[in-house]
Amino acid sequence: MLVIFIRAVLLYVFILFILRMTGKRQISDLEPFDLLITLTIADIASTAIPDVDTPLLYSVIPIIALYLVQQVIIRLSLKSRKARAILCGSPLILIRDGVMQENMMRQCGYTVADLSDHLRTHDVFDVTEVAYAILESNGGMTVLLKTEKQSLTREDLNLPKETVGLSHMLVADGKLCEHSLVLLGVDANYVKNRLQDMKIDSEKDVFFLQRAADGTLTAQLREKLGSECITLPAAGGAA
Amino acid sequence: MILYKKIQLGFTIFCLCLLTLLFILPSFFVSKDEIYVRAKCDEAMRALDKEDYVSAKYHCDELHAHFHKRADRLGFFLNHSLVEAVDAAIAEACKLAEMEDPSAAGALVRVQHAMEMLMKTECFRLGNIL
Repeated sequence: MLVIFIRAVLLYVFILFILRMTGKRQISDLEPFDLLITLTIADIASTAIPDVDTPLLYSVIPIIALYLVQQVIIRLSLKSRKARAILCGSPLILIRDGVMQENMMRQCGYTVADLSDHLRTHDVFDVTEVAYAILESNGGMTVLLKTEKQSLTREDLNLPKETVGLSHMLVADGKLCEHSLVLLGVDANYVKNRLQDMKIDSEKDVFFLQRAADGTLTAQLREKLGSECITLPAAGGAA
Repeated sequence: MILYKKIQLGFTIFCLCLLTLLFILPSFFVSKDEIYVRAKCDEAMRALDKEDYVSAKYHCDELHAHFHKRADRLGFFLNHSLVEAVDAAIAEACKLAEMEDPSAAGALVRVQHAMEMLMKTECFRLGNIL
């Protein structure tokens, strides 16, 4: 069993090293060690399921070993910036003030076409519009546009601030959402009264009832009742 | 989030305890069984040397009954085909001893060898790791 544990740890370190060497192109959204554990656990599990000749412990131990190494690596990367740089890599600036950084691109194996692809996913079609494009350690790209190309904000227009809130689902699939009621500080009677204001008999007739941040209620009736949408403004009165 | 952290910590401690147990128990059980099997095989072989087939058959049957009981437990830790190979070799030795065939000794040597192989798979050796 100890042998299997050590084999798993050795393989983990080896694959992590290989993943780091392949560069960020191979990784998407996951840190190298996250990707590694996902791949290896999936593979161990898939080979263990049909192999009835091998004890299940032969698969459980490597998975536990990977989990423990993963925990150690996460803690290391949280505690030490240097360890994090070694394990996950560092962000690389690929475009600086509209100029592609050829050396950096070569370092991470990015071609002009790859970079253009990424920029287009950020709705950028002209490299000269970019102030900074940074390739993050998880393979994702962050793009900061030049100030003259950035969208206007309320602040730029000197418009008054508006509070932003979440909308809450009060009824879903004909059932009250207790969690939302608690969050809003209301009870089932509140929902019942509002539904009556909307001329709806019961929450069972409602596919969903949502309360927007400004207090506006929107209900959609069930399909058998015509899937009609009814809106009740915050002040009252059905629309 | 705090509850999740506590559960995660608990799980990590559980994993460490489980691993510690699994590092100790299988080698303990296998080495215990290996000593028994080896001793019984030696006794049966000594009886075969003296052409005492009744005694050899008795030792082989005892060994077979003992190993049959242990096979399930060993299968928990070891490759099932290896455990079954030992079981089959013991059964063969029993049958040969019953037939008063001197080649039962060869079957007993195979039992000892198979048991040795089981031990080796559990040993902490560089060869096993690589």
